[in-house]
Amino acid sequence: MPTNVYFDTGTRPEQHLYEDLIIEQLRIYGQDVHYIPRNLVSEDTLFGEDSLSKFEDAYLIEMYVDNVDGYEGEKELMSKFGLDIQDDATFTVARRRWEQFVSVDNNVIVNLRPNEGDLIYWPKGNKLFEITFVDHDDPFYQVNNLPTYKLKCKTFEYGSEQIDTGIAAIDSIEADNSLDQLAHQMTLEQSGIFNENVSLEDGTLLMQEDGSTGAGLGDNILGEDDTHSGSIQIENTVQGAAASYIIQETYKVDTIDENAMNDFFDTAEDSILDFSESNPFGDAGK
Amino acid sequence: MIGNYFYNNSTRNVVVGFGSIFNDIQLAKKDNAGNIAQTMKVPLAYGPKAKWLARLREDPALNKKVAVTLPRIGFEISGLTYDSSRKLNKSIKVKKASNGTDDKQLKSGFMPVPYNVDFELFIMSKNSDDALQIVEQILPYFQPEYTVTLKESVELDIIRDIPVVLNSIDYEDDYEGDFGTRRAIIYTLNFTAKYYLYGPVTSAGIIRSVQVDQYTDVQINAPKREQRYSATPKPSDVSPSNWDADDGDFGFNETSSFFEDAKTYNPTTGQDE
Repeated sequence: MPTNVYFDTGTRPEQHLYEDLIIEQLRIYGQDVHYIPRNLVSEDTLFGEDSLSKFEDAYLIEMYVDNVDGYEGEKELMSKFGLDIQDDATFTVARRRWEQFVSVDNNVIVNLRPNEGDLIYWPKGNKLFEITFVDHDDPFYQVNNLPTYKLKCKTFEYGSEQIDTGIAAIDSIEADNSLDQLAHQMTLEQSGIFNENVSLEDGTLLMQEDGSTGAGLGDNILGEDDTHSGSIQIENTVQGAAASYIIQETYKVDTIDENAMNDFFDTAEDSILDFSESNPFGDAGK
Repeated sequence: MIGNYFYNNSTRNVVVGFGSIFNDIQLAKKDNAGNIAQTMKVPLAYGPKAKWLARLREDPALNKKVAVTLPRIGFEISGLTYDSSRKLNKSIKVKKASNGTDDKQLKSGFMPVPYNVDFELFIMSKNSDDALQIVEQILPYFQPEYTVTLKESVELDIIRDIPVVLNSIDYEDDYEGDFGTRRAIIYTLNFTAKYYLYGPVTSAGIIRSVQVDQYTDVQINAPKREQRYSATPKPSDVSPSNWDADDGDFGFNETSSFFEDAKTYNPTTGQDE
């Protein structure tokens, strides 16, 4: 039996009014956040993932932070892998505003709605969140429409993805945390020209003095294990890489990642492991 | 009874040795054309830490913007067990002449105790392929053991090959469930390192003079000694630090004296009385 047509709860004008009121409230009580869409770069169709995702745009839009009493989730957590900040937050965004500001650019993977996997940077909380779930039907058809999205978010687990949004506070996440060695390559002035060599003004390649011999004698390009300042590191350990490359000494895993101990073990092993004889069954760290 | 302080850093050194096996794992990410777009070292850390220090180090200004950076490797000790199959006679002493400025001493310690220390190594990743790259760089080296040469006791100058045995691999991928739960890809590799624990090392002066009085008949009253044999190293001041190993063995000054008296050597006075 059909519903009574004289008691309709969702005429178009009513729905528009309801949506307008929501947008007005979100603009009064909401917060400015940056919606950062994910760009797929190298989708792995076998495992269903994309480890090279890029984040190259940020759209300023107002959203209401539902968590009035602070973040949900387990917050700061001590795990086997160090400090893990598991803050959860829910952002409410008006459907129409999202379409006006974000969707209009056709810049998201699925253009119809906010996407799981996209990021939200909340400047006031200074946190980068990943949308884990887009709740599209809360509130539930109050005037026969769905005017908002509730974006369930968790703090982003960063995996050295490229973040180039043009907003310094967001882009600094990549600069501070990315372990990509290629970002620390020594580049030449005209690196596009393949036959370009490293050349110095006076035509002599001067090397770091190793300190063990007299001035001007025995200078070397220092290896990764040396501690002298100004050294350069040569990396060519990745099988299949196009070529060896030189990386700057700014690439220190322990400095980029405060919890990492790679360099610590590299140094500590020198006094604990013995490399005086070749070990046919293993030479850790050699 | 037990309380003679000593600490040889044995377990600590095994932890460093174990960690150094995995501190250079590399990861590469390729684009759709198969070109390498990113390469990185995988961060490694010993897991257990003081919580307060971990937070102060990793989030000093309370402005950490992300949850955690991945992939990463953590490891921890999961147990210690006595290994009776490697036990040697406990009364045997390990001796080492001191060198350097203290070269007039002989250091010694009893036979070390064989122990197995179990490690759990955790590999956490955002993506399956990243985790597999890491795992596949580790597994081929363990057949099922990988050996590191450890300076086990600096005092006794003992260097030993320590096998690290890969026992098992566990895999966990929490991809099911509601969208509010994080997906966690964690490989857990269980290892056993076979090492030794050393007791206290004592030192005593090096024996530089030997003297023996020999008797042909040991009667109860006033036995007559017949011969005294004494030996000292040649040169007399030879020590581990000035002994020329290339010149061959050092020699001894040997002296034999003959007696027909009933005197006895008094080690206190150094006289025949």
